[in-house]
Amino acid sequence: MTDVLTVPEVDAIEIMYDKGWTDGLPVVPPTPAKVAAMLAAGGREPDEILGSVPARRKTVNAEIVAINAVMAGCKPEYFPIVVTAVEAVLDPAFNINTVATSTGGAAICVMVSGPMAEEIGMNGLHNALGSGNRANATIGRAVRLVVANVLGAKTGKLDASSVGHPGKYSFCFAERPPVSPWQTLTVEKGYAPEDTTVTIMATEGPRQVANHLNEDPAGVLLTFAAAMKAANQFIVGKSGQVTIVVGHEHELALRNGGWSKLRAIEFLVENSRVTPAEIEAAGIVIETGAQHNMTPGPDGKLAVVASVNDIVLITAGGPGSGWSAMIPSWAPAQHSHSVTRRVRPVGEAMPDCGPDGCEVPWLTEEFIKGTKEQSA
Amino acid sequence: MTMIEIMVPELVDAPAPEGIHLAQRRPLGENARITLIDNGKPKAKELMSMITDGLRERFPIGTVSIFSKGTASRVIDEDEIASIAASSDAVIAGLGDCGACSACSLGDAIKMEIAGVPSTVLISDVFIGNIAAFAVTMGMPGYHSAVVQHPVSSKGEEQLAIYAASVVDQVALQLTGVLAAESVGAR
Repeated sequence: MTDVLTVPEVDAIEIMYDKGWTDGLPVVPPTPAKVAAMLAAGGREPDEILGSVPARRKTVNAEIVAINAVMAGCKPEYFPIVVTAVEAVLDPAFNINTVATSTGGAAICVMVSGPMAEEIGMNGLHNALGSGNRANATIGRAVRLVVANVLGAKTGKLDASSVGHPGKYSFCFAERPPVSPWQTLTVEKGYAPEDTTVTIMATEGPRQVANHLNEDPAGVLLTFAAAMKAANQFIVGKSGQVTIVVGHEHELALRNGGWSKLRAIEFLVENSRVTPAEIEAAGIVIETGAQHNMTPGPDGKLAVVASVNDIVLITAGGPGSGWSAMIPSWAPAQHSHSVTRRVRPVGEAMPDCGPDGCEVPWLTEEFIKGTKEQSA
Repeated sequence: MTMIEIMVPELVDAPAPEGIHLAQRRPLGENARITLIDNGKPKAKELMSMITDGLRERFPIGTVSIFSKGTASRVIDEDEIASIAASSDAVIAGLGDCGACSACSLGDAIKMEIAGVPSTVLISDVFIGNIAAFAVTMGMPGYHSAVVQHPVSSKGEEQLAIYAASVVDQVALQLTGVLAAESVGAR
């Protein structure tokens, strides 16, 4: 049962600072009424179990997430997305125990695709990855507060980040719905166009990708590939995952050039491969006999991403001068996988899986093949 | 003064499972079997092997096996625990020289303790606080560790030998309760 404190209203924020419950910014006092409103908007019961982290002996329910969502400043209508993001965080494939502990200081990048993003006022246009939008800022912040307050990932406790980055305050944005024939990330992931999905990836900070004068699709993509290959990123040569945020002009260049998303992703997988000499030229020592296999392939090169399954390509950002972003995962894919979850609309019953149970998407033949390719 | 109620945003740890305690310590006997749970961090295997070389000078060790768990970011599973427990008289897990890997190697050692095998975890010094916090969370507060200077991964053989020598006493005591077999007349 959740504890409740009675405090002077005027002192509530300072008390929450003193308790170590904030991320350094003020939080909204989570009164029982506000928490109840959050749960109601999400159609969740307080004691509904969302998942667990056995290594931390923590089982996460909807109420504790609602408390942190209130503190983050979320409106109640954001809660279906917050709770879906937390469910994704608790997916074993994401491996939050490692993500939240690592010296690498990963942020949890939360990407929302589908109509609900617009309905609640999320931003996928100008400054999509920046500040200024309440839904973007507070949904991402709520996820981080859950990881800190509920799973214990705090500095000096269970978060061993060496440097960290600003995305650890909040890192959430909406997709800019792409123009046909490109499909939304939701559809690309196999869901219906009317669905909304949340995709998460544990990431280093975003790198802005500037290419203002080139409308050739291959030319644009080579700029992304160059960013992916920068040897200061931990995953280079070690088969990680990458989020590619395609800005307005770059989407135009690719689409007008007749390139599909998949063709662009395949191009990036191939053209981001890097020789050991390129890595060593940056002063990085190639691992041998250790957990990360850095044996070059037949082409004499190493992978930044091993397969098309390791790139999330999403459109975001407003019209301007040819800006995009590349966001590398904080560690090789063997440590954590990006996860996508569909947002379950309020009132929708759980699926009837029938007598044979549900298929587990990440155990499909395609996924397993991709995993093997990553480890090859 | 207006008073309000606020709900606490933290969860207390679930109660520790019953039966979490250290495995019984005894000096390693003839043909003792040691297993190193290698998490694949650079120099982990080398450093742990050097430590067991030091133990060989103190105990009649028969075999040293290396279990490579493939990735530093997971704790060994139940099948692996059973397999290692069936073939080990003592276990060293490591190397915890980052946040996630130290937590997971600690988890390996604690799992082996629960399975009845005296164990320890090898970490570098900057992660002492990290694993102390995790030990509480995992239900074994104050769990021991063998601590070497950080960093390890960039060091050559000569420095690794110095690190190994610096913790052989700790490891011997943590695994057996004694510094050497001679001290209890087992040899």
